[in-house]
Amino acid sequence: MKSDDDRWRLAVEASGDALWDWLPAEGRIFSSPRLGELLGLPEPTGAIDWRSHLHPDDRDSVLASLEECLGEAATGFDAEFRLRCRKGRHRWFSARGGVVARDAAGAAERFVCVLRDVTLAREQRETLQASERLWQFALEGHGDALWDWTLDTGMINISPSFRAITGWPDGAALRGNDIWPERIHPEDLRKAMAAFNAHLSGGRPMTEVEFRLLVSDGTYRWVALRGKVMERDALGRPSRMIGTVRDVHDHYLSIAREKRQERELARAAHLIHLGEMASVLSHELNQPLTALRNFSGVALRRLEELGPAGNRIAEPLKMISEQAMRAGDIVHRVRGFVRRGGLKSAPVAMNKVVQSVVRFAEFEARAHAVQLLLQLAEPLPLVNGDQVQLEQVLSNLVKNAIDAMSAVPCSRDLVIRTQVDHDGMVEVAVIDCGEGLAESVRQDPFAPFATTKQDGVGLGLAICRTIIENHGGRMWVESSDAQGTTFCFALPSMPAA
Amino acid sequence: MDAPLVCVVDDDDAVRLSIGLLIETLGLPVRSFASALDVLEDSEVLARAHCLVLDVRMPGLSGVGLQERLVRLAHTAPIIFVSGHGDVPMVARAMRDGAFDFLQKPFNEQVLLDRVQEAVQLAARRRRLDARRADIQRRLDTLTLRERDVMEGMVAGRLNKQIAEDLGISMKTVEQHRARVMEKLEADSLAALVRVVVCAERDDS
Repeated sequence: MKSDDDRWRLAVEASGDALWDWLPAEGRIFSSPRLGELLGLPEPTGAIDWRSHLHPDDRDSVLASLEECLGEAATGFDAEFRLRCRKGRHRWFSARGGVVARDAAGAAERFVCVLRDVTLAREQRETLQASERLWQFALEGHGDALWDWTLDTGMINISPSFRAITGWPDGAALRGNDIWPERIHPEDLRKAMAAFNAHLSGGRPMTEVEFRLLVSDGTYRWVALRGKVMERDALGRPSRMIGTVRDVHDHYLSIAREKRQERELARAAHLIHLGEMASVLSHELNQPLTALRNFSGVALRRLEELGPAGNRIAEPLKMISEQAMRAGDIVHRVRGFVRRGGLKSAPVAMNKVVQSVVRFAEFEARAHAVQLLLQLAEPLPLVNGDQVQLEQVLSNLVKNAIDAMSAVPCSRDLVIRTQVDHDGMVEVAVIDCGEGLAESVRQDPFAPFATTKQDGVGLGLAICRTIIENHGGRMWVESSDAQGTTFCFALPSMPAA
Repeated sequence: MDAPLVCVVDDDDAVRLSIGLLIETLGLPVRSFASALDVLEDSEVLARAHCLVLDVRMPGLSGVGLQERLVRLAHTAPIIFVSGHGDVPMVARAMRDGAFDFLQKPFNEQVLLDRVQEAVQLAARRRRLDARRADIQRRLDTLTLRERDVMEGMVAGRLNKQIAEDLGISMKTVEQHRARVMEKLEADSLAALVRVVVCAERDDS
């Protein structure tokens, strides 16, 4: 039967820890062979004093706390420090122990401690902490606020930036079961709760929902919430949910605004097309109606020379003539009707029109490797007109220019220039470096139904010119050859205020 | 004097032909063009045109553009615009620049004929006046400097005696100049002389 000491020593050795037994008064040390192994000594036997292996940075503090332990009756020894091992490398150790025997005067007679290599655990802990810090940093830096919700207690921890969004006071404990219903906009509550339940019941891999959250100043802000169950209880029920909240209010509003603008533009484009189609069509119809009326008039006058003999023919001829006029009236009425709905008139800054069109055209330009270059005169007088229609005209010209350059092998520069011309009108030029207008349309590129595009109807430029002329301006082709084409239009400027 | 002529410019063949035939029923000769630029190159037409019927919008030079060129050439023939478009701002500009009338297509052909006739009459009056003025100017140019001084005194209503004093010449010399002025300007009375001089001095009809 071994002594008690031996038994304990064996137990400790089996755990992988080392035992260190020290009699301070006599200066005797016993160390288990395991200590030598841990330190990687070539001959891990004999008495090893780990204190001589202490890292210089740790030595003083460790020795001081050891001294303290020896001196005071009740204090245990618990320290973490680095010890020099083989080849001068250091490893982290923890030491736990205390004085196990004292003399009558209370001086320490025997000190025992267990040493354990904690390098790996420590590295893991540090890695974990670093990664946690990194995530926290990344998420918070990105504007995401964090929340950590313990479902069975209902308590929720939120990060400082979450508190910043909501204005909840620091430190105060919060109950998630209360704050969600209380803080979510009534109209969004059902949607949000459904998103939580869908995930909690296992239907969805995560909760992902946008809703309006009541914030500190009493208003609602749009936030995007994401969350995931991270822990479950023994029965598999969700017990802890962690997630982020991001303030998407401004983004949400700007998207809503863009959508509204797009709808507006589409509606306006539709109206313009209707109105300008009517305009172009009315011109095309009025020509033959004019000829019809005139030819009837000529025939009637020649019949008069025949005297009464012509009367039988003159009557129906007059009716033809009247019907031609009636058709003309209908065309005018339709056109006037459509026009009234469409045209707005307000001061318009042409440079703003250019910038707005460029914003929409940039995508298409990039897709065709076309570089948009702006040469905008500042200041530029305002013009009086319908901004949406003018945008329509310019965007039409820009699209044509991009198409014209799609076959050009070298650099594709599209210049949009604004300036004041010698008459004080505001002139806009769209200059491409394409191959020039096709022979078939060069004579009159604005003629309706003249097109070189396979899927075109040839009304784009006709409509553009109609719009510009309705604004009291004019539109023309300045030049078109193998070096490119320049389309221009000029609008009367408003007198300076 | 050049025989009157009406000039029709429209790029639409049927419209051009029908307007031409219509105007010919008035017994007026018509010359038609599909392009405004062709008009500017035809000096005979420019010399004879008593009225121009122009489409507002045409490829190349527009009707309004042609009007501008004609104004610059001091060509005074009245212009009637016809347009299939409302083209309101353009029309306003054309009228401001002195267009005779504007008709929206399709129009009542009798209205066009009436306006063409009025325009031709106006042009004929203008041309007669211009001719008369040119004739008077030619005669005024035959006056000597001294005769001109005397004429100005007469028109200003001064007596022979006063004119003689003004110019520092004798009454008799004044009377001789006076007779020469009346003869050269073909005036048989002082009133007739005043009319002639006023006609020449007036800028416009």
